[in-house]
Amino acid sequence: MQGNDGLAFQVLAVTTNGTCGNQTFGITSGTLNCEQPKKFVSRETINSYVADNMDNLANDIARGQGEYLNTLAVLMEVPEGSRADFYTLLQSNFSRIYTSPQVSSVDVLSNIESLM
Amino acid sequence: MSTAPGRRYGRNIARILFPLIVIISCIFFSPPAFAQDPPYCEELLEAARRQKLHDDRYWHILMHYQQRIIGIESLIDDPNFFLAPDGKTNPVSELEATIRAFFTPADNENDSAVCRFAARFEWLTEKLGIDTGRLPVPACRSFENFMEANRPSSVTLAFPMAHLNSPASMFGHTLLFIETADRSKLLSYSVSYSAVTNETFGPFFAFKGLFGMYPGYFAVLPYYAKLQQYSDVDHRDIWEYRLNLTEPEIRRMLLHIRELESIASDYYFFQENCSYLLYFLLEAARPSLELSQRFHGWLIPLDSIRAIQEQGLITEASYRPSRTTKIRHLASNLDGHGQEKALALAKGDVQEGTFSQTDLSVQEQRTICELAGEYLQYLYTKHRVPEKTYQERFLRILQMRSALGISSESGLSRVPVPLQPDRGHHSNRVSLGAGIKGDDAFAEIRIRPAYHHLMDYDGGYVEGAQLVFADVALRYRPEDRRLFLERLDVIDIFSLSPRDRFFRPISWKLSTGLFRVETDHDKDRLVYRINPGAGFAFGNNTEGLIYTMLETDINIGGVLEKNYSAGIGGSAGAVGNLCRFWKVHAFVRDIYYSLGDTRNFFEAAVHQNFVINPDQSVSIEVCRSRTHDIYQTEAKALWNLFF
Repeated sequence: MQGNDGLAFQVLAVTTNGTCGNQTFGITSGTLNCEQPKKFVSRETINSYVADNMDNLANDIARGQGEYLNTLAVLMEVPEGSRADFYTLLQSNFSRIYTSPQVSSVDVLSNIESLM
Repeated sequence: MSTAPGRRYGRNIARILFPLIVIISCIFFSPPAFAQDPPYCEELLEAARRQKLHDDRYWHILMHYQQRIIGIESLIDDPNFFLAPDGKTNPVSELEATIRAFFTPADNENDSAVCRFAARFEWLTEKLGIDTGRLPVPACRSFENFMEANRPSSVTLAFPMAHLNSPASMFGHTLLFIETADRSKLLSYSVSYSAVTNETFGPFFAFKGLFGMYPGYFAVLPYYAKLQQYSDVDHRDIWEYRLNLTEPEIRRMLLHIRELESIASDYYFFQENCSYLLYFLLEAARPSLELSQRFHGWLIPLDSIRAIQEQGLITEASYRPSRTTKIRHLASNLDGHGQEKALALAKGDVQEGTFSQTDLSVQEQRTICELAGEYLQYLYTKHRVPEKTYQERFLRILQMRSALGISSESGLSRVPVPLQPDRGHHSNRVSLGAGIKGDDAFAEIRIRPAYHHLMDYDGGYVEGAQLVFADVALRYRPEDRRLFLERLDVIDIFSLSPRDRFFRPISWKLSTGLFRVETDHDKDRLVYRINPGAGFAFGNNTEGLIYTMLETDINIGGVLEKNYSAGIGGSAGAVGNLCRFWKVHAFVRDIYYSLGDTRNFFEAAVHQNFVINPDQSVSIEVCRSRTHDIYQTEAKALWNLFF
C-alpha cells in the first residue's frame, strides 16, 4: 500500500481563489492557489505552468524525458521532430537553467529561452 | 332640496367620468406585477407550452430533477440555481421563468441569464428557434471566447484510487478532465465535485458527510493541480479512462458545467457524491445515456465507472502511478546497497563524487539519482525536510542526474500496470456455505454490500486495504432448527502497509458490530463490539506480509457481567499468496479483558481463499479459540459470489 505514516484523518479542502505567482522549488500542498486563466494568453500560460510545476519539471529536465517536459515543449511550440534535441539541450545545460536553489520560475523560463 | 341645473349636470358627468378615468389609468399605468410580457416573449412561452418542453428529458437533466414519491424535485439545493421561487419542485414555472429571464437586460453580460444558464439558453434557442437578435443579450461571449481559445477535444474520467486514511477518500474519487486540441493532459481542465469543509476532526467529518451537512461544489482546475494533490501529496494511483464524447457533446457538457460553477448542492457521501453528480454532466452531453435514473440507494465510485463502461462511453484506460508507487518501483530495481545510496543522497549524507569509487552501472546510477529525487520530494511533502534544505539538496541531486544522460527505456512505462479497477470483483458479495462449531453443524449465508476484504482477490483494488461495510452473517442450525444472526460487521477496516527503509507507515484496524461471545452458561450470545488496533507490518504484497498489532476491545451486552467488558491485547499474523489464486492468512490473537466481565480470549486461525474467477471464490476457515478455559473449534467453507 501507499506509504502513509499518520493515523489522523486528512481532510481535503478545495480552494480555488488566489493567483499563481512567481514560484521557487518546493510545492508542498496539494491545493494550488490558482485562479482559472480567464483569457487565454500564451505567455501567461507558460509562466503559470512553469511556476506551478517547478519541481516536477526540473525533475524531468534532469532526466531528459517525462510528461512535464513534453508539456513544456508543447507550450513552447517546439515541433515534434525537434523535441529529442530540445530535451538533450535542456538536460546538458541543466545548471544554466537552474542556477541556484532559490531560482525563480521567471528566471528558469528566460534561461531556457536564451538557450534556444 | 334643489340644485341649480348646471351643477346637477356636472355631478352626473363626474359620476361617469370618474370611474372611466380610473379604468383607463389601470390599463395604462399598471404596477409591474400586472405588466404584460413583450409579445415575442409571450410567443416563445406559448410555443414552449405547446411543445410541453417542461416534460422534456433534457430539461430534467439540466435541472437535475428527480421523481419523488409525490412530485418532482431537483437535487440542487442552492437557490441561485432557480429563477422561479418554486423552481426546485416545479418544472413548468422554472421553464417559463427562464424564458422570461432571457428578456431581462443586464449591465454585465456575465450576470445575464443567457450566460448564467448558458446550457438552458442553447437548448431553448434550438427547440424554440429563438431569434437571438431580438433579445437584450444575444449570446454569451465569454463562453464563446473560452471555447475559441481552448478548443476542447476530449473528455477523460480520472479515478484516484482508495485512500483509507481519509473517510472522504475510502472508496476513491472520480473526476473528469477535458483536454484541448493542441495541449497535453497536464494542462487539461479538471472538473471535480467535492464537499467543501474546514473540518479537521475525523468523526465529525464522517458524520456530516454522511448526512449531507456539507455543501458540494464543482471546482474547475488545471489537471496538474489535481495531480499534485492526489498523486504527489496523497500518493494515490490514478486510472484515466478516456471517453468517446464528440465535440458537440463536449460543448453541451461545458455549457452545463458553466451553469454549475458556483452552485452548491448538499453533499452526501454515499448518494449525491462526486460520482453521482458526474452522471448529470455526462447526460447533459449525451441525453440518451441512462445513468442517473438507475440509482438504487448508494453509489460507489468504482460502480459508477462500471456503469459508464456499460453505456459504451469508455475507449481506453491508462495507469498513472503515484509518487510512492514510483518510489517502490525504482527501489525494486536496486539491491540493498543501491537503495542505501539513494536513501543517503536524499538525506544529504553524501557529497558529490559519490559514484566515483563504485562499480555501479550508468543505469543503476541514474536509478539511484531518480529514486533519491523522488524520495526527497516525498519527505518534503511530509514536512520532514525544511524548505531551504530541500531546495539545496534537490538541486544537487538533479544536477547529478543531468550529467548521466537519458535512459533508453522511459522510467514510467516500466512500472508494472496492475489490473484495471473495473475488472476486479464487483462490489456486492453474497456467500453460502456450511460448517461445524463444536459439535453443531450449521449452514451460513452472508451478505455484504461493500467493498473489499483482505482475503478477496486483490486485482483492481489497493492491496492491503480492507474496507467492509454492513456484512451480515446468518446461520441455521438443523439440530434445533434455529435461524439466527451470527454476526453483523457494521464496519471492518484493516489497513496493512509494510514498512521498509523508505516508508514507515502504521498499520491499523477498526472493527465494530455485533458478534458472539462465549459465556459461562455455555450458550453463545451477541454483544456489541468496538475493536481498534494499530501495529506494524513487514514484507511486500507479492511475497507476503507479516504483522503484529496492539488491540483494545470493548464489548457491550446484557449477557456480560456488569453489561460490559473491556480489554487489551494483541494479534500477529502472516498473509500472502501461495500462488496467484490461493491466498492464506494465519493469525493468533489474545485479549485480556480486565474490566467488567473479566476473561481471557485467545484464538488461532487459518483462513484460505481460492479464486475461481474475479467474481467467484471459495473460502475455508478454521479457528480454535479459548474463553473462560473453554476450548472451541470452528471450521467452515463458503462459496462467494460477487455481483
